[in-house]
Amino acid sequence: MANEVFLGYALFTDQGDWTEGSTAQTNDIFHTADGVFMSTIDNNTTAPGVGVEGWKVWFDERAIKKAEADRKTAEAERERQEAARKQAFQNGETIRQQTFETKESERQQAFQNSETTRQETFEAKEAKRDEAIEEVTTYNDRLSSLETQASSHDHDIDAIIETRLGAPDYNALPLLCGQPPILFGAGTPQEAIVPINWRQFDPETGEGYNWNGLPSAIGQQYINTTVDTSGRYIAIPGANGALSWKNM
Amino acid sequence: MSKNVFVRTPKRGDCAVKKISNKKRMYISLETLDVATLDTTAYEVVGTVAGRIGDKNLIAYKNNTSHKYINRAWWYLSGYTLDGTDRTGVLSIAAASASWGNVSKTIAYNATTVEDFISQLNTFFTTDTDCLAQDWYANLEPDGRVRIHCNNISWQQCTNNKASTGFSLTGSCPEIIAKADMRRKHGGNGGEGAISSWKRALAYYRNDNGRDSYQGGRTSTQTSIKQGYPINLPTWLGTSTKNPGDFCAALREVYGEGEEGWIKFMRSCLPVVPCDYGNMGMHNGSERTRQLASFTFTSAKVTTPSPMANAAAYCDGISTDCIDKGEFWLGTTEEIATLMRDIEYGTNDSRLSDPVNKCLSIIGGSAISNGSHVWSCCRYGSNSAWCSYGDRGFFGGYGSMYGSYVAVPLSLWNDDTSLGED
Repeated sequence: MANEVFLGYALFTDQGDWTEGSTAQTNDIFHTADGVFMSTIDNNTTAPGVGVEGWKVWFDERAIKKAEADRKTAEAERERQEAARKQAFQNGETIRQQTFETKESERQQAFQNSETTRQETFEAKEAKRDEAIEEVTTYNDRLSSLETQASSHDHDIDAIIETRLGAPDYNALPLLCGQPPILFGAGTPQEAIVPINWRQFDPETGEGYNWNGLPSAIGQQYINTTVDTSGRYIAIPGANGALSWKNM
Repeated sequence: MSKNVFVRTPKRGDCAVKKISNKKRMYISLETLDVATLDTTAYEVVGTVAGRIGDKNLIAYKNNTSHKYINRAWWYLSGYTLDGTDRTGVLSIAAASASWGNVSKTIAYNATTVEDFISQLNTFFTTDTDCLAQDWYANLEPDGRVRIHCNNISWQQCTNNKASTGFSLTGSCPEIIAKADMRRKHGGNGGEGAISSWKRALAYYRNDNGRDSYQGGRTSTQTSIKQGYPINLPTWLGTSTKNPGDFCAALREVYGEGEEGWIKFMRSCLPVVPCDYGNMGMHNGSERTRQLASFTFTSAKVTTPSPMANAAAYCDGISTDCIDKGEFWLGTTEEIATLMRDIEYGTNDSRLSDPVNKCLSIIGGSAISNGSHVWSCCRYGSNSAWCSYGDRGFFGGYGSMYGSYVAVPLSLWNDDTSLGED
């Protein structure tokens, strides 16, 4: 049975959706896409609608549906705009990113170029510095070598002065065991007659040593200045390291 | 300052090295010596320059140790008869059992060959208590002589051992000629007493040591400047308490008063170096060292051939990759005089106090002290050899040959005139 709707004391019957072939009686309610309509006549076979004779608009859904449609349209438009906005944003981001990447790349390249230049400049300066250091090192080595040679020469000179020169005796032959190789005495070789050129012990300096009549070196000669013949003596080795004068 | 500077003409204390590649002798100045930075793969450190003798540099090896001059004394026995009949011979030997007085040993033998005779001698030596204690032994020498030998442990052995009735005996170690003469600057000759270490002699004789002449004491008036031993300062000044009296006035007239005059007198007690007279006439110790080192022995107790003169054998035996055996030797009195002349370590506690010891300290070598007895290779008498006597600083001739004294290996090197060239 159709749904009965009491509206105050009036009875309306909700016949549901209008379909082709439907017949409405007075106060029958039919639903269409445009809304809810009440038949105002009996045996009404005209399709309900706004402004259609025999019908009364109970609930005009057209505005709602239009609004809904408008809303949906608006929503769609909004979504479209949102999508467009997003796309625009995305596009903007993309452009921004691309721009950023481009600028970043350019920046990096510029930095790299700058670094390369800086490095090349640094390396060039380093190379020059190294050259300078090497040159200084070479000079230092040469200087050190010269100092070493000078030190060696100084040492040699000192040693020569200390050990070779001593107290030069420019007026005599080279010494033999510290004494002249040829001695001259006023008599035969004896302790009491000190040869005139014998270097006696000097207590002040410690140089020389006292004559005692005996030779001090093999081959030492003694000349007796008081005679014309047989006055020459030569020191010859004897037993147990003894030296004696052999008269020649 | 540059380090390890090589020089042509070294001074006392400079370091002696050898180039490893060709054994070239070289010198590094002491002032620049730095062992830590020296390339030891190229150079071997040998020792130090101890002085100069003539145109050569006296080199002291970096190490030295104490040894006996003669650790095994020997004699040559003759007078035996090898006719196969019963014979006897008498050896009179110093023995500890007689407080080193002589004990006669009558040795019976019957031999026809010298080998058999030697065998019978050794049988006696190993059965006689005194002979066994001294490890007496006999051997046949290549020249056919019979040599008898024993451990040298008391001076009486070399001086007093003799033979009699049936045997004849040479003196001890007859090949080693003794000389007891050393000329001093004051003109005196004679035995021990010439100053070997100036610093040690001054330190010792500054004191009132005693009455004996070797202590520097005098008990009678002295007029001769030819003093055998130095005189101690208190005796010189006439203030000695050990031998009261003024005995040196005449000497002070020659050399001057006070300590200053004493110093001048002490200088006169130095030996004449160089000199051909006496012991200083032996100018190179290599020949005497090789001679000493050539004597070896075996015995009942020693089966491996061993040296009989350990001090010489030690020096002669110095050998490394760069040093040939025989390159170093036990020094003559002349070489020891040059070595010890300026040694200060001993009277001074620091090894850096003289150039020789400073160099030895730097290179990690043994010290040479003027307080040590230092052997020469020169024999003084029957039982003694010349040494630089560490107690008194003079050349002592009573260093008994069995004493363990310092043996310093020495050598003579030329200047490095080819410095920088190989």
